[in-house]
Amino acid sequence: MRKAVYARLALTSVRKNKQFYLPYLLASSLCVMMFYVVLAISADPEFGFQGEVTGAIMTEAGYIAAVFSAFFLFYTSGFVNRSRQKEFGVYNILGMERRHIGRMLVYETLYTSAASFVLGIGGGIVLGELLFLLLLRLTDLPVDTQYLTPSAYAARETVVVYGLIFLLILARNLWRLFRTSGTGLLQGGRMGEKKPRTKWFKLAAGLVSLGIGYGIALMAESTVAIFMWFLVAVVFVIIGTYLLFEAGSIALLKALRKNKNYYYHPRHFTGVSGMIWRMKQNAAGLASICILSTAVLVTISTTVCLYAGWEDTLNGSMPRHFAVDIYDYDGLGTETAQPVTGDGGAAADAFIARMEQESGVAFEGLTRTAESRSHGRTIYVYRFDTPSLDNDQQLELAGQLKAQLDGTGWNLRFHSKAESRQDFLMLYGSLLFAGIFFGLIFLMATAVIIYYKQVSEGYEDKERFAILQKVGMSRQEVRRTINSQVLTVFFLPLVAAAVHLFMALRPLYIVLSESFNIQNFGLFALVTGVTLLLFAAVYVVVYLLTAKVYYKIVA
Amino acid sequence: MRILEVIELRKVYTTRFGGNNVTALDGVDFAVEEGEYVAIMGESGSGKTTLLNLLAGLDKPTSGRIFLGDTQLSTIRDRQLAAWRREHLGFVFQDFNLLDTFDLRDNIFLPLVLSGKSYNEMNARLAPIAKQLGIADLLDKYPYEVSGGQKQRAAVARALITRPQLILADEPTGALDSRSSDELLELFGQVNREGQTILMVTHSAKAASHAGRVLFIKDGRVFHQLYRGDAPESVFYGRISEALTLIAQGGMHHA
Repeated sequence: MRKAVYARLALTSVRKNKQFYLPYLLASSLCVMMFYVVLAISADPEFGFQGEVTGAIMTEAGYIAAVFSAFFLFYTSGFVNRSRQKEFGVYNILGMERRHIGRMLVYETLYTSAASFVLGIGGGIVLGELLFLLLLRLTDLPVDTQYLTPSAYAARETVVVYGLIFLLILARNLWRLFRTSGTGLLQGGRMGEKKPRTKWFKLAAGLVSLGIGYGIALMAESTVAIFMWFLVAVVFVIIGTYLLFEAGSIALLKALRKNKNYYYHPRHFTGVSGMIWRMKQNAAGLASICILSTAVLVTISTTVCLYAGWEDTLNGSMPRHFAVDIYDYDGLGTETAQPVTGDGGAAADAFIARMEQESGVAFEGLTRTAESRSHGRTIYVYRFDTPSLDNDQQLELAGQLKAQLDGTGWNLRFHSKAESRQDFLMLYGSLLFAGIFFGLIFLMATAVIIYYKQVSEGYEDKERFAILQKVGMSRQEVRRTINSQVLTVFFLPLVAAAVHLFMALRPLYIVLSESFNIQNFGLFALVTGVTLLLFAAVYVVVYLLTAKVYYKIVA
Repeated sequence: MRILEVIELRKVYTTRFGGNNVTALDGVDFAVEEGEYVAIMGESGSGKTTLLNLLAGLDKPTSGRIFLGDTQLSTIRDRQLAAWRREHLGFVFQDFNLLDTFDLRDNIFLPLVLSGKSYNEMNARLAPIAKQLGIADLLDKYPYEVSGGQKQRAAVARALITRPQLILADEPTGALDSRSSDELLELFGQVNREGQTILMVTHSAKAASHAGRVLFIKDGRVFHQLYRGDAPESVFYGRISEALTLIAQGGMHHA
């Protein structure tokens, strides 16, 4: 057959299967969009992240999100593919060879990927910008940019990363196509599902792993220890989450099934048995949602807290209005100035006194502390206030003093609280903004992915509910069963995420209090609680929508 | 006592734009007495499936009435219909309709669980039925682990366990090999002799020959009926085949 035939066939088949492909396209476009926007922001030259640690962290977060969303897409596209096995079976019987069907699949992937890229990157540029501006207006945060610059780098990177993901999905679908026999295709891949068994080893390993992760989080005493062990704890928690969702959920459901009074109850009967089967394929997806949700919660609550407590942080690092550090490293002064020998302290005192005189402002509460370094080196730290000046005047003075000091050629460092205030506000404002922005995008993507997951599973469950209705299940009972089933699938990851978040509170607070001087645990707990509530509220909305659509499909 | 009475049942399907009306049932009258075993025969398109759907309350007639016991079907409200169906009717389908996510025991329990029966009662009911149907050893297996005949026996157990007034069977041997078919028909006969009323829709003369009475449907009407009386199956089978041939040739008129 000629090539154009497959291209046309693929196009028709995408159109004919739009009930599966539309939600898939929605999910994949959103993932692409998420990735693009994260990269575009972290690379935005105006946003002040470029080349900074924050920018690097964000880029990394973007890649991690890409990996997670790849998991979802991989899993969910499996549903599209499986529900189409029958169609392939018919093609096969009608005389199309597997490689022809494969070629058709390649074209289909080409179309859907192209559509995802156009919609995702286009949506990222347009919607991302709108969301960006809206959030900027709503929060009125002091961010040093007014708009999001479209980024060719981010677009290129997105196409490469997601191109790879789509390629992997195609490879899986092709592998499935060539592995399944002709009649197997006709039966729609329903064959060969094995009875789910409780994996005790995985269960134990999951518990141990989660225990280690939580243990580290609970035992860390200092910021240094937390920074050293944090990643280790996170890895253990992630592994534990995956193992427990897989083995733990099945063990739990089986225990429920053993409890006759619980199991043989109209509301639990179909749900429990159905989920035992579903969990086998479902666990990874749910665990991913859980991890992603935890990440969103931690990011938002920490950035909110940092922003809310920036004044404390400022006071911690700059207790006074001005500070001058004079370095007495083998004598004061540098190449341009004559080295001062003898008592460095007296010379430094004189230097500061001269500076005060020249500035024409009284340095009140002037203190000097000397920090000894090795080889007899010393740093003299002078601190003073200028309470007669307001913030703007302090800024002015800071500029004036800096100009004065630059001319002396002395080896020193000058700090002003007014200037730091500006920097802090900008830094934490940007951080908060990025935190909320990413939180929203991740949340949106998570929501759409869950939605899509439920919809595609709905098509699988359709037959099951048809039988239940034939055997005498009323519409209300169907609705109730669906509700409890969807509810569990939805809220299990959220509950687990809340537990993770709770365990992370202590180490996060240690870092916040030690490194950022935020001593208000009540504030931190409140911010975290409110974040969790808001997150749950959005989750509930998605849940209601999903349950409705799912019900429409199966009943 | 009359278990089922169908009076002047009509069902007309209207296409969406009111173009062609298709008359699936055109005034069907018949009654089933308690303890009877009735087979309904007809070719594809004769209205068998429509009739069964109406009897099960899955669809509403255009006109006419259906009584099950003293209850007129159309007076049952939609909300109660599912529960009513579950408690008064038992269904056996051609494609078994067992759920892959349940083992056979749970599949059989399903209607009782939906009715909120206790585990002990369900177990007490299952034991004799499972023994009678010969599936006592298979209860822990899943549907995909057993043969078609075994699946259908589990489905029969599911229909019987609610102690329904009437069992509606839709081509129950349609997906079975001949040996399993014989076994199943034997079973139906046995269940019937113990007092269970059965209404079976089929186009297999073999299956129908196990019944006590056969109704022939053609073009949406009851065209003819045969009583088995004391005749053995083989003789009744011959009479059914003859009737089918005559009907196919269009040479027979109302009974």
